[in-house]
Amino acid sequence: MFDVLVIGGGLAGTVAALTARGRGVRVALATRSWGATALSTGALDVAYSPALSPAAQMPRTVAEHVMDIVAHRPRHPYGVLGLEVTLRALRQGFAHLEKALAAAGLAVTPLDLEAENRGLPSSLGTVLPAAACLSSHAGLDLAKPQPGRWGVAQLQGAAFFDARRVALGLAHDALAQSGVSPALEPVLVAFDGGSNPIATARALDDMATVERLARALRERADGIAGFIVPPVIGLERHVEALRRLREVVGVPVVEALAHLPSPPGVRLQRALEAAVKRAGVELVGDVAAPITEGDRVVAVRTSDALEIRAGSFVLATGRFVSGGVTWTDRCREALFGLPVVTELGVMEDDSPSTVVRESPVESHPLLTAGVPVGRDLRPQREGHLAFENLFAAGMVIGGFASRYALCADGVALATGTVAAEGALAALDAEAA
Amino acid sequence: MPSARAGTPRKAARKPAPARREVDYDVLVVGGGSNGTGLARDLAKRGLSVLLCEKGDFARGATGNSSGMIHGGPRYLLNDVDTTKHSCEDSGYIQRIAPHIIFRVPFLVPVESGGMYGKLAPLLHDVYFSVYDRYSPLKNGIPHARISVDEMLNIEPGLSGNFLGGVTLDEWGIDCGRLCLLNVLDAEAHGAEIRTYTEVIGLLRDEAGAVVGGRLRRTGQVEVEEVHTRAVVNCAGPWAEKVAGLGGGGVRLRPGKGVHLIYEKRLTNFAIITEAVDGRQVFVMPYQNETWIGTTDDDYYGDLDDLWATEDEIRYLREAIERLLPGLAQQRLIGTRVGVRNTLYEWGELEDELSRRYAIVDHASLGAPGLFSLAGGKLASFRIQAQEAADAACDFLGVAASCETHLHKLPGGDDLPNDLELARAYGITPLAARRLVARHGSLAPRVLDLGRETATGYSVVCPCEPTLECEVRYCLRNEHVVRLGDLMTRCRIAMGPCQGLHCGLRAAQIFAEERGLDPTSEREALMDLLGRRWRSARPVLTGQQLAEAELVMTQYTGLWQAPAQTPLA
Repeated sequence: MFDVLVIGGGLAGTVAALTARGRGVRVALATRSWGATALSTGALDVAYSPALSPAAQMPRTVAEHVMDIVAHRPRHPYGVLGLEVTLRALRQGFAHLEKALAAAGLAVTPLDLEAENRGLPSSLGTVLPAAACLSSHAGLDLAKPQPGRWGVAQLQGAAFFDARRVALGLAHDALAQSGVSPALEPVLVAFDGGSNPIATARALDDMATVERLARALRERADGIAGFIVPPVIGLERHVEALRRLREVVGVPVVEALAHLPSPPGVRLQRALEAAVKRAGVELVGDVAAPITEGDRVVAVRTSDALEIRAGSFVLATGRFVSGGVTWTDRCREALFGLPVVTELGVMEDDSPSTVVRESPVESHPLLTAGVPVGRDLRPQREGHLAFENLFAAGMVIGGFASRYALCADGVALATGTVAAEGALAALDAEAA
Repeated sequence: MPSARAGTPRKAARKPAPARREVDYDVLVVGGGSNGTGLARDLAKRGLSVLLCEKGDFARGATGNSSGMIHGGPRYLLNDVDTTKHSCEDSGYIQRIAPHIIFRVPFLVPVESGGMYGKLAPLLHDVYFSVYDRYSPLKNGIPHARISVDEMLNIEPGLSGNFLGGVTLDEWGIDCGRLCLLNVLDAEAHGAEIRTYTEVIGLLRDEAGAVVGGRLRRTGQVEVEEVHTRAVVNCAGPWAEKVAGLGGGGVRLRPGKGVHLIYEKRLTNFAIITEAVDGRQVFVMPYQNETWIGTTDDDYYGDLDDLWATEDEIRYLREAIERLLPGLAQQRLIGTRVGVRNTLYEWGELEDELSRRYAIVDHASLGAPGLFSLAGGKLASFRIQAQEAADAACDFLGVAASCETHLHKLPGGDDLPNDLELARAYGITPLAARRLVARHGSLAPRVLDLGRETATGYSVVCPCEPTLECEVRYCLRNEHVVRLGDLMTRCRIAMGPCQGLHCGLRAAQIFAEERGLDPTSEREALMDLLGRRWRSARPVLTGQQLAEAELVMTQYTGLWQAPAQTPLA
């Protein structure tokens, strides 16, 4: 018997579990397999939503972007929570994350909501705005004019990171964002880059290999203010590898944000898993079905037919990638069969074509699908509460997509925090 | 219908050649599908100067969305036997000239109990297919076999239903996009000029009404170019009626929309024929590294340039096939193929029963001498159709040369290399080698040699196939790739379940490098590729494919300008 059971071990679920655990209650975390968190780029997206407001009122700081979303997207989780709660929960959730990652040795930059989004270089050759990031990606803010020549490292044979195209793309985006074209040039590095970022990252868990890369970079470091490298500097021993690399090379080394497959995503996911263990959260396996009585969830049944009882439950199962929301004959939330909404409202259509636009670049209601929630993040069914003691966090909540307003991590942090607070309050209420 | 047999020497031209005037080309061929590209090749081989104009990319219309079979169409035995005969015959020639891009497709026809012939049904099937067997030597077919229920379930354990037995027969499939491309390459080798993304928007007429050329416009541009030719042949497939209209009309079609659904891998050993809810014949077919189910046939009155599979069509096909193979319901649908047949017009028949015959129209009788149209027909007999159209054009032009398209192989068709040896020699996987040979035949080593140019030459760009970087570069340099999306039919980039997730970016980078593009154009190219893939995937964006789409959409965030905003709710 637990006090709080969190279903889903990504960023949202972990923040919820750690928040609940912070109160000293018995917390269990049920996980199935890796979802979107393990695929993240290394950035921590909190809020970037250009063009919602008229040009004259372009938001600058992260908090202003949050305000913009709250003002214009009432169904977005930030809108549902309201500005004050969102900002508070963001800070709290981030504090938990920072602490959790620090114990795993994985550092993050601070989150300053009153600052502007940084412009981080990505492996796609785009400059992506982000409020914070894993530290290995920090050190070069391309949203601001950057002096000096930066080298984009081409590791030999690494088809997954085309330094020439990345440099061209970054320069193009940086010019658009900062008004100044940075000096970025591809630099061929005498080091075998391998064919797969995860394999290369694993190879760089070996310090001798790191030394070789470091020396190869140093050979090309003349006149260079810093290097942008593919995000492959170690997997398990990333922190040590990066430190060694930076020591030997002598100039800043910044990892580009990742595309798939993503070593930073793997690092983040593993660090979160280590953190929940360290916090004394009990790990249980895959949940097959919930067990409910009336308007309460009383337990879940796992795939190995174990029954796990808890006082409150947090649903953090994610969206399509992780299978939290599925579409077989209809679109529905997978575990409780809860109805699904998009940012436009309740989804009743049976055909994907009606909730997906004709061109991929447009915004698609289907990609914002998830469960509808109230201010306390309890899922709703036909306007009423689905269950008294069930709370939702992360991408399983509908009404937003990380593509249209870079915010997925912020939503995970804020809703993870608020859902856990709700779960704890529900315990108190039941006890009373 | 004239029965021109391939190889029959043509009679000497009956008319004196028309007075020579200054022209840019002898013949303007309109349309880059199987008919147009086949015709361009035929005419070029006969020594004529040819300009082929295709408003999109090769095989964008009926050809590229067909069932991809060069078969005899056994069902035409009942009411359209000429079609069966011509198809089988030409199928034999096509196999000879394009051995690398064809593949055997064994078929299974389960005979269900409870039909109107009761227990006689297997015997009747046997008889029917023995008749069909008479045509199979023409297409190097193995004679049919009648098999018992047990044997049938042995071959296909997933079958569900009450059966009396079954019949096996074999057909041939072909890569339609590669077919058109190879026709074009051979035409070019004989001096033809080929332009894609160039639409014929008008015809030039002289005072007497003769058609003396065409007005061309490149897609997305405003300028119109006039070319003068001695003859124009309209091979525009479903658009043939519209193109004929440019010359005063003369072609009437009854366009029939057909849809296939695509599954991510080969799911059955045989292609299997079954029945849909309305009694129509439908099939499930392993095709290269996919499985297709198809097809529908519905009168289409809509926009030929804006085709989507509808929910009705998708359910109709799934219902039919899942009744036969319930296991298919769990499989991953990755896309749709939608095309429109250029069937000749007839009133009063059901779509399925319309004849698939073809017609060569000489518009001289309609006041537009110099214009010819090739309408109707089937992919399986494209070569003979093109031959007759070429004969008609050559007659008109006073050219005596005969057809040779059945005699010479298409590029890459001679001496196919052994894929295992190729794999060893270049250090690639046997599967990659096999797929390369299936597309490039004897030219595969030339493709692989390109890999030595760069450190990443043998890296895998699209793991679904797998397609290697050297092949992408080879296609970009040699195979008329104008837009990135054209790579889909050249080397199957983004055709698989990944939807461009793994290969889109890399393909765009290589394209940008080869063409010297700036980042904006590179991103537009990626959008073109994703857009083409989206058209196929959008109607079936459910299940795992939806998860894939979520990944694709999220990964490529930031690659185009600020994401579009939905209206404020």
